[in-house]
Amino acid sequence: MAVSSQPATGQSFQCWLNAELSACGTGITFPFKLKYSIDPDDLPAVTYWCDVTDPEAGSRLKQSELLNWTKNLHALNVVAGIIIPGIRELTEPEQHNLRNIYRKLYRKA
Amino acid sequence: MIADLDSYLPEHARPFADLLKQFPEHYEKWVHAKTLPAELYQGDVVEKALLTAIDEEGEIVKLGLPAMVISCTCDVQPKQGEFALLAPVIDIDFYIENSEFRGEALDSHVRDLKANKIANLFFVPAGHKLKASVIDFQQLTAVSVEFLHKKGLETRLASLSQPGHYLFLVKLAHHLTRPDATDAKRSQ
Repeated sequence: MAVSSQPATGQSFQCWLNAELSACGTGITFPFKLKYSIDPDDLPAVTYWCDVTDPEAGSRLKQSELLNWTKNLHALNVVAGIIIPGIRELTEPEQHNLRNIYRKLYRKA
Repeated sequence: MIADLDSYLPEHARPFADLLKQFPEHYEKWVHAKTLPAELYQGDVVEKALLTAIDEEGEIVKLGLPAMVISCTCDVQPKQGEFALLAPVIDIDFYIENSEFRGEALDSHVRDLKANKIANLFFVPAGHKLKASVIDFQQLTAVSVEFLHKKGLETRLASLSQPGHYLFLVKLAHHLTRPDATDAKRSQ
């Protein structure tokens, strides 16, 4: 089931999704697959609460830094997919091969 | 999709967008810095480092190999951080000679390696005193920053250029921060 919005319900997509997921109940397989994509400029703002009486508060992450880091990380991963199409992890035979190469380089401590 | 690349690049990397769009074509021409910087940088390769690992029998094993600085540049300056993370740098010729793959399987593996399609490994072409090599992001060793400065600065083999460093970050971020596979179930 492909759903990008639910205009007919008068609800926001988030409200509709929340209602649908709540109706699923524990242990029941979801009746759909959710694919969520977002523009990096539209990343949700990070709500960050900080106890002002906390003496360590001054050294904690500031919201803007956290958001910039999140955007930066997201962009790096998107760029990986763009400039290296098909980027993948080592396969099992390749890991085995690498282990054998290391065996010729290792020496016991 | 490639046309959208510019919008994802940080400002300092935008001048290199055209180089990145052509990747891996000609990247041997821009991945290395033209000169070695005075300070130690993330992505620099030192000539020889003592690296360690625990093997499958639980034994400590040692490697004496060139190594790439993986820690952030600011963390490897004197008196900034205690330890620097280093990754082994394996000569591609040694890698190929000792590979158990043969024929088309070897060609295909090396092709993917050189195109940097394998996220765990970072291939760097030859540059400065460094031979074409494979850097393994999976096997990191913590080495004293103080020790690194005593030996490392004198014996650096290569340093990354600005676009080369961005490419390094792209691969490292992808390897270390990609989401768990969907079948990796955790308890609640």
